[in-house]
Amino acid sequence: MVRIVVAMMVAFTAALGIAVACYPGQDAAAGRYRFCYDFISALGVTRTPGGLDNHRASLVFNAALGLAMLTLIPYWYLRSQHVRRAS
Amino acid sequence: MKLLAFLCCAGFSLGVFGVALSPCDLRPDMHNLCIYTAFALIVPGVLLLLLASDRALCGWRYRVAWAGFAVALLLCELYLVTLVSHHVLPSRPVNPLIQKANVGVFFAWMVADLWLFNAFLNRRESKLCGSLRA
Repeated sequence: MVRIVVAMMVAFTAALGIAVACYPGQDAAAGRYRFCYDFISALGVTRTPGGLDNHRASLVFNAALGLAMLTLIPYWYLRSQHVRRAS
Repeated sequence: MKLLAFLCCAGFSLGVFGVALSPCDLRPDMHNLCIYTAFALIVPGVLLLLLASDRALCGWRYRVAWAGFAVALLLCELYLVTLVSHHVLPSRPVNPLIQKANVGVFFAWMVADLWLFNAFLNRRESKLCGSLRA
């Protein structure tokens, strides 16, 4: 399970990089993803506030985020089994 | 305690799953609700996993260091958000940087937790094999 979660984290980081590369920027003037000015969830919008099409980054980001979160649920179950009982 | 830790962490995962299903340009209300729910659940979830884990999994110094760091980080963020709400600081870049700091710290904690959990499972397995051989 630990290996699956590690693989998921590596894959998610790679997908995040791809989504950042595909993101067209908030508007035509920005032109790219700006680390300090754009939220991470900006990568998931289908259309940017400036009206630019963002379906590619949106697809990659939302699919990777959704899969990563579903993969984590069995890990949380395993991990929570090693929490002490309240005494 | 186990169930509570699992419910908080699984609730976080489902909340972020909801974020992936509701892009903020299509369903902004749902998107924000999912984000706030996920954040509200992961803080107690991580603190439970951290502070109430088996003693064999991690030492008290590790627990206190992470818990202290988490509290300090949250207090700093609260201060910055207050400054933003009083228009002392601009919301950008402060809010996007706070978000990235939170995600980065969560990622770092996940890496450390996976490392420790894997080592704990390996130790337990080798102990079990040793006792079976004996």
